[in-house]
Amino acid sequence: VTARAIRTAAAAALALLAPAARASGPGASDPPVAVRAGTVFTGAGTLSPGVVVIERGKVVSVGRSLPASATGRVVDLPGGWVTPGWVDAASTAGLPEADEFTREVTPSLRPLAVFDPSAREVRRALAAGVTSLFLEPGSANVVGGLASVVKTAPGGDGGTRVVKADAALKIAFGYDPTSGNFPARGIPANIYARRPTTRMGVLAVLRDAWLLGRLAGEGAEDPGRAAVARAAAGALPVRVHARHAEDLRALLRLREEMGIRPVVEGATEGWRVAEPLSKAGLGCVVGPIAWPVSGRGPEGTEPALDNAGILHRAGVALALTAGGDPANLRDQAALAVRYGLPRDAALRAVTGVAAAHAGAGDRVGTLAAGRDADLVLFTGDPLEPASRVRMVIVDGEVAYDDEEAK
Amino acid sequence: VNGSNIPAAALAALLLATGAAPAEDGLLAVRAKRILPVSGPPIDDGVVIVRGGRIEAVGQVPIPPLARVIDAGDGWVCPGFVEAHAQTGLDRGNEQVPVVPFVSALDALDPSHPAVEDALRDGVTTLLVIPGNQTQVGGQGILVRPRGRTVEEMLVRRGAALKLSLEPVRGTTRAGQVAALRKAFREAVEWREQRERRRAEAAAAPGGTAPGDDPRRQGLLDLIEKRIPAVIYAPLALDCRNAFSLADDLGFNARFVLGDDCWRAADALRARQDAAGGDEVLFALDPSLEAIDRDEDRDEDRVREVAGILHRAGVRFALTTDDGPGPSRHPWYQAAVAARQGVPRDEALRAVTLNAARFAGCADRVGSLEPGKDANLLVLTGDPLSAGTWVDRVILEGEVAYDRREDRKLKRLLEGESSAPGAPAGGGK
Repeated sequence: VTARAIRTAAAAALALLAPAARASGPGASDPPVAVRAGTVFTGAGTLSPGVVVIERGKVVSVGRSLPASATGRVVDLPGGWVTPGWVDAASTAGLPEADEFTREVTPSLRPLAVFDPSAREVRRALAAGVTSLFLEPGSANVVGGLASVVKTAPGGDGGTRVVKADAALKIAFGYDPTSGNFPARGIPANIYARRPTTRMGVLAVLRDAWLLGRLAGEGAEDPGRAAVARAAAGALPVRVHARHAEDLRALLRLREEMGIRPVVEGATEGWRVAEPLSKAGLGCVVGPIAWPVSGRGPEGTEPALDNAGILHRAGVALALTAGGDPANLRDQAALAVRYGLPRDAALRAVTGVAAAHAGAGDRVGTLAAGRDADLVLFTGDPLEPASRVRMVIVDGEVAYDDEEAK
Repeated sequence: VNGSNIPAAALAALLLATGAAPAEDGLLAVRAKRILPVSGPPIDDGVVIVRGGRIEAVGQVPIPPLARVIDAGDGWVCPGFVEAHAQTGLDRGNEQVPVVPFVSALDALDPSHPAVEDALRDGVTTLLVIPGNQTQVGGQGILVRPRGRTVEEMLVRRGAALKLSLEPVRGTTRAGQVAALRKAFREAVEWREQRERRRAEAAAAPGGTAPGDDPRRQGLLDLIEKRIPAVIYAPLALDCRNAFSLADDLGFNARFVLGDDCWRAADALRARQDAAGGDEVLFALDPSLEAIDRDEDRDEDRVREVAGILHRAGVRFALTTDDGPGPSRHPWYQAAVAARQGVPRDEALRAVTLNAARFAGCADRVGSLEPGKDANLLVLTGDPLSAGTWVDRVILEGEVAYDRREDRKLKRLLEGESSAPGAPAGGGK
């Protein structure tokens, strides 16, 4: 079957769906649509062939063949692939700026408030099949703020489809929160004078913030301290940015004192501490995979191209991030497999596990009954750069159509 | 071996069986599940016969009894990749002074630069190393192979092309850039006329001495006198017109490296190609294969797929790579992106092999698997355009120049510095 035939079949079937869906939104009257493909990756496993039935913006069923009870239209992609919408598990896409520099502890900061779904990188992410983002503050602050999970397709109240508003509290270890700070000597003279200036200073500031949050309690009037208190009590997930093995080891020591079980982001030297990370049950979001042109990674780390594979083999639940332009997430998955990560693990790392690490696994990242109908239709194996995104469906609506975009 | 009365074939079979065949020097047979000669259709279960560093035969041909055999098993074989426009191994791409026709990459290429080794690891067997784009008349490029302790050992051909650029240097406008190029050429032409006059005068006057060559002018004179071609960088579609007229007005041979904006000039590129005739490849594409086409009025932008658009316009091109940390540093990836944009897979492979060789002016020697050409070939674990495929071996002019099993650096890159030596490198299949 040629690519053209697939396109034609898919376009014909979905052309019928699209206007109705657009007119009514993910409304009550949408008829069911079955998407049948040569291969369906569900976010957990692979079906060949497979069928996904969606209705009213949700997945109704996933199986090897069309359910006998099925009504409505069928979209056929005999040589194609269907996957859940991809999730970039660490992103600042669509934010005018990601780093707030006035203070080093800003737990009440909310990037969601300034997220722009019409930003070029967000639209490109959607066209590349990335339908959800773990949207977070940058790593310039020790306690950076509250991350959210959003969809890349515009819509919903205020223009953004929010999957989860309070997804995690972002914390950063290492040199990122120290960069550009006032030098250790001299007297801070203005609001730009920030602590800390060393790695140990970062941890001291973190302990301070934790203490203040705990003292204030979850009911505190100060929303920042209340957020820290919730995180310290385990009521709010925690995301920790850490690249160096030393920072990862520091995290392994601190996590019990802080009462947290965070997801680790960055983990450039995760390959050095894969076993302890696995034993502690900490998930990781790694990326981007970069050829070490200068011989070193960010922050002077020693990268390993198979970092993802080493962590996976040690038993770490692994997600991937493009670490910048989310449209590059497919390259990341393809490279991770090239360097040693098993194919299934790579696909899970950008769908099911990524959604779980983002705290939105109940809504996105897998194709199962009741989940959001976020699907990506590929012309072939999504782990091959030569394959093309044919169509992206978000909440049951066609959010990107390759034929229309041409 | 004293075996003059034993039939040669029987002897060979015996020796093969005992694993002690004294292979004839320089005779090599590479057997693979699939051979992509690029100059012709794929050959399944084929053999490439190499003798004396050159390809002798390609196809389902018998293996000579005394050949050393490399059996790629389920692997594939294709020509070595050709990098049509690179700054590999140069400490920096350009001089500060914008008109330097007298400099040559020959004097700057560092054979021990990691990028040279990376090129070989990636399956690149020929590179046009040439000054970068931040220049006007940037200097001379050389053709090299990514192997050798000195640049002389690496050298395939010196003076392969002269670099010109239409990207305005700092402090210059586009118009100023073109004016500066024309001025440089006018001066070179005038100097040449003056020299001819003085030579004629010297020949006429008894005892007169003729003026010699001026090495500072040589690069431009070589170009004007068609001893070398120009490689002109045209970042924008509008630069193409200027680049064409510059070459036509002065009557020199030119090839063009195109920025991603040049999808807008597809028709003009096709017309230029048609006027040149033959199977010449006049264009190489910048590593960025997606252009953002901004519509200010509608506040929209569309991604233009440069390789796909030019292919559909009938334009032949070479693909190039960058030296950054992303996948566009790999020729296979660039070819795969072109395939995603609608370029047929065999054409996409051609863009990093034969088309690149034609662009660089070395298709008589490399770029495809044809009898008589240099034996530059890759033993791959599978389809060259697949992300999971590795370059297992690089055969450069008949010798194994790279073997992934012995690539300790790759192993360290993959597993980190603490990795133990011994095990084969690469994720592989």
